[in-house]
Amino acid sequence: MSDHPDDQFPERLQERIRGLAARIGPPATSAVDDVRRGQARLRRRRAATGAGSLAAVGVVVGVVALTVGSGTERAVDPASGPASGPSSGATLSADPSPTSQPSCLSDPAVKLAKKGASLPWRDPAVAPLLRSYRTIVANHLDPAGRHLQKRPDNVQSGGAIDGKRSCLSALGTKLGWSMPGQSGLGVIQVEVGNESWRDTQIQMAHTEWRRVRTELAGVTRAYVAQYPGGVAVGVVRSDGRVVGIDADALFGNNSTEPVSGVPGSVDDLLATAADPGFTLPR
Amino acid sequence: MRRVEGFTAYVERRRAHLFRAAYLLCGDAHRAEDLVQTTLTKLYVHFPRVAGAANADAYARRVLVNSHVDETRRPWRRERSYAELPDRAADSGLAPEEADELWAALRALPAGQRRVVVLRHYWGLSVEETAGDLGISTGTVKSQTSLALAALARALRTDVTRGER
Repeated sequence: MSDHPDDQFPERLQERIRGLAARIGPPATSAVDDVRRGQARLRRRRAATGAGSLAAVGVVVGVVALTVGSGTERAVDPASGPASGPSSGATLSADPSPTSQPSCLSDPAVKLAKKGASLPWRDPAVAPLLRSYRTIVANHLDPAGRHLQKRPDNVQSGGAIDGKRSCLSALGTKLGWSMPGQSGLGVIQVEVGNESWRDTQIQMAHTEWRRVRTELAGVTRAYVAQYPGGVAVGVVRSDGRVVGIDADALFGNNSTEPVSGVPGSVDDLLATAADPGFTLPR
Repeated sequence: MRRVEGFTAYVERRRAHLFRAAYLLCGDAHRAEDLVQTTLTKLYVHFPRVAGAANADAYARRVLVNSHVDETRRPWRRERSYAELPDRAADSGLAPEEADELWAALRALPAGQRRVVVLRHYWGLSVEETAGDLGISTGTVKSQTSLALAALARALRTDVTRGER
């Protein structure tokens, strides 16, 4: 007897599976419980984002303090290895991963950070980087300059301050994306990190990640998450740096109305993320 | 408030459907409920963005299936399906022995093939939609579908030999 199903088998199978499913009695539950669980998750998520932002401000201003506070102190490029020489005020944390080295700033930086500027994205230590992120995104996704916000006006960063030192693990910004004739606003979020891909905010913001093949220069792994209203991509580079780009039709912080269509294709976004120009503070 | 109201309406309308899909995937009422709770919790966070009925369903379906994928990768949560359905209250048009036979055949499938069968033959997705949900190629969906249908046909031999019922 042949095991090969006849042509009508898929159709009959569908009917039978749906009949089988109809026999499964779901438990009696209240939607109120689902709402409560959702609200708790949302609160945790917002709290985590808030903590990340607070740490970011401290770290960013700390970077500024080290950069401009003393002629002998300087921050360290996390990809270049430990600082050498007695004049360096920066140290690197002991991280077991050879490609995961957050920039850790010493205690004086934290103290000086309390005198920080009110608009950290304008500080000279990070403003040029944020502008360079914007330029890279514009070159890849908006070469005609019709959609992308002209200047960064926020900083998105990750890191930690433990009272003794502060460690920068990610730096980024959110750039508005507008469409001529539309009142809505989308967003391109950029995040450049030096820890694992799983630790980035963009990775944690989505659940739909899948790994994709890529032959982009300097990229060892690439990921794509397509979700309703947007696409996010992430690349892990051979130098250990991770770059995430999230293109969302709705800039949730600044608009309640999405723009039509997501800026950029997956290939464009991956090429953008793979651009070697994305760096962290030196 | 709109989030709460819209989400509540969605849950009331679609929770049973999600639970049944989860049960077909994992074969365990408790784990099915866990999967549904995980799915709905994530859906709540993103609900303003996916509030359209089709979007919310697509989002929920993807989270549900991917949560099942994650689960089956954890050694301590691997397949532990049960021999019987949890409830027989609904009149499904299937005789009990038919339901048991199909249930046994389904739970004998490898998890990946069962996911493809559930997406294609319970949710009614196309090959392309199934590939998109699972993050695999359409070729893989086709080959897994083919293997699964052959295995089900073999297990439900009466179906093959009797033809239409």
